[in-house]
Amino acid sequence: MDQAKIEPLIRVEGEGEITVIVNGENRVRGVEYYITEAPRFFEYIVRNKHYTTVPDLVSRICGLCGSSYILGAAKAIETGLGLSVPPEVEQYRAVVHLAERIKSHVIHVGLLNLPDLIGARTFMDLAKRNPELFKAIIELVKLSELLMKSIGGRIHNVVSIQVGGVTKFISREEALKLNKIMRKTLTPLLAKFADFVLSLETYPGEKQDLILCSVYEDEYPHMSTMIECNDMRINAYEFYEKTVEVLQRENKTALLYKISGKPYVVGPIARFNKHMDKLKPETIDLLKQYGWYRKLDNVFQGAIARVAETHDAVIKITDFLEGYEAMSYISKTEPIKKSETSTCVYAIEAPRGILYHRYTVDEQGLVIDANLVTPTAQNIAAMEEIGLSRVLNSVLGEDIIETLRRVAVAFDPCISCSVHSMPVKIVKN
Amino acid sequence: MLRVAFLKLTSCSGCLNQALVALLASEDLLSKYEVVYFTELGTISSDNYDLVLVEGSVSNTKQERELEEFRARSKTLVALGTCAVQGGVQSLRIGEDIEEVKKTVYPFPEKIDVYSEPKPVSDIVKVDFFIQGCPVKGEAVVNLLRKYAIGGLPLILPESVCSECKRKGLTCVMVSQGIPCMGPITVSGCGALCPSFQRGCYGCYGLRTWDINVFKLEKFIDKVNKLGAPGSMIQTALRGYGYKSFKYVKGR
Repeated sequence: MDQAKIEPLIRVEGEGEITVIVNGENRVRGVEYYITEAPRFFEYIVRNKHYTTVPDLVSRICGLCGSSYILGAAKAIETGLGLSVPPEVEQYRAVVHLAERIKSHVIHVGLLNLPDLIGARTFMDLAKRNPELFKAIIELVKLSELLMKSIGGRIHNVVSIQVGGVTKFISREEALKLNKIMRKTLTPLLAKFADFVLSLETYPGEKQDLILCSVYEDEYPHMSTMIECNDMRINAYEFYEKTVEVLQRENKTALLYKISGKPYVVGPIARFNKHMDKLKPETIDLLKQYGWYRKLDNVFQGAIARVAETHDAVIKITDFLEGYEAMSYISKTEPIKKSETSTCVYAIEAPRGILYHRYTVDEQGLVIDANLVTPTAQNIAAMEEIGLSRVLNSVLGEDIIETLRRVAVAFDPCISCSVHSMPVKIVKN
Repeated sequence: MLRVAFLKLTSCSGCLNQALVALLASEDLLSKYEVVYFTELGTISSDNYDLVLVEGSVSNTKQERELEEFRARSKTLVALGTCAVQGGVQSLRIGEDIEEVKKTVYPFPEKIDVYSEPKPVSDIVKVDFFIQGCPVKGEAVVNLLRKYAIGGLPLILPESVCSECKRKGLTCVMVSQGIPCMGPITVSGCGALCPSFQRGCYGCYGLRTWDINVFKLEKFIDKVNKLGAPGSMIQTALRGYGYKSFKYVKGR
């Protein structure tokens, strides 16, 4: 069997690679997506580290969704060690996480995904064709930066969130000032951006039968200890440590995650299709205006879910800032003496989907074992299935490669954080 | 137009994203620089470059060769961020048996091509300039790009985080509240971020070594230990974020 290799996979975060397997007649027989990041062994390096240092350490896994790591790790440790955080402090931390969702979605849709949707090669072509839209995208990114910097300290590796709470809160004046900027500048820019994305008519319409998984809570999925897959609800520990099958390709090293032998999808489309009725009413109205208040047919329509989530997050943040009263809660970070080891588990919806954390902490507060399951790693199996279904038996050509690349970009893989995947070398026969 | 390349090695993309956002947000720079290599954006021209910004440490021979190639094709090479300059948090595995490390994460460790020690960029090629930080500050990248566009490189003023606290008028969190802080031994550049958020610095910009010897370092560690700093905070600052500098502390 011959193998043709293409590299690198462009317009995704980090580095990836697609391998296409063709037969003697040059027809496609198999598709494999690979992460070519060199591993950094985070599950190893958090060992023997005190639980208070773990959130800042794991946030270094991903340069785009670091606060999902910090907050997810803090929540897991607090839950496992029995540290309770008041609801208003929880809400404050959630704002940092929502701001990150805005930043990530705008960068993905605006700079990485839109070029595909409008037939441009890169975002620079887009900038030339539609400078006004490009300017709106950049301004949106800058505003999400301002939010994250004000509340979290910086846009990656935020410093205000720690185990037990928040180190410092903004004042009411600062909150009102931010709110004013958001209402005056961010809201109209977002309207322009949303109008462009929701009016596009280039989304493929095919129906994909997908198993969709997200965290489960009463609100639109954000963070929880429960997971919902299609109609099944299960606690996160059971799901990730027992239910999910972690498979290894024959003679290869990358790991694939499946449920009962089938790929599943996490991320914006999963959250949106299952819980769109929990979005803010203003967001639902916006979607209805453009005929998008309905289940998305396939992963290529993911930009719709990202714009909806961005809109929903902006409203949630402005509501929060408007009613904000300054807080002075002192985080409870004192080590809790426990007579036995604690299993600390939490699942958080990173921009790209469920990020599962599990830390086993000993009686001295040191991590003895950890498990992190990232959204991109979970989506690889589905990516391959969808990719193959579109190109199986076609004669290998530029168009096939382009199709496979678009499948990858639609999933928004953040490859840096795929801690469970690894480079694989393939020899061309 | 100056041709700029963004090269990513073993890292999280955080510094490159900071650099990208900073570049896109500065209209004056967009008219001076053309991004000719950045895989994330779909631009992969493999010609000669004026400037290459490198993020991440070097983990295997493939990356080492790639880095050498980029060096050969670039006029100026800048190491961007703590991983590129110092080795980064992945250095925390140094000293452990790499086969054991691989086994804890991967079921087929023999397939993983990775050095036992991640190497900073300067271990492999000549570095013309560096910016520390985890992640780097966007402003620092803009400064570099502006200065480079007129034919120079910024000046480096070696200081500790303490000097930034003083300039900002912040009360020392360690002296006044007994919060363990790595600021005195950490390179400046963050604008005293953690102390302004009422917490101690954890050293993510890397270790300050030009005037620190092993005796001073031990005294300092003794001090933060007494304040109750967890061993892993000190370990992460010295052997992670500050790995390369720590290796060369005078008297070690």
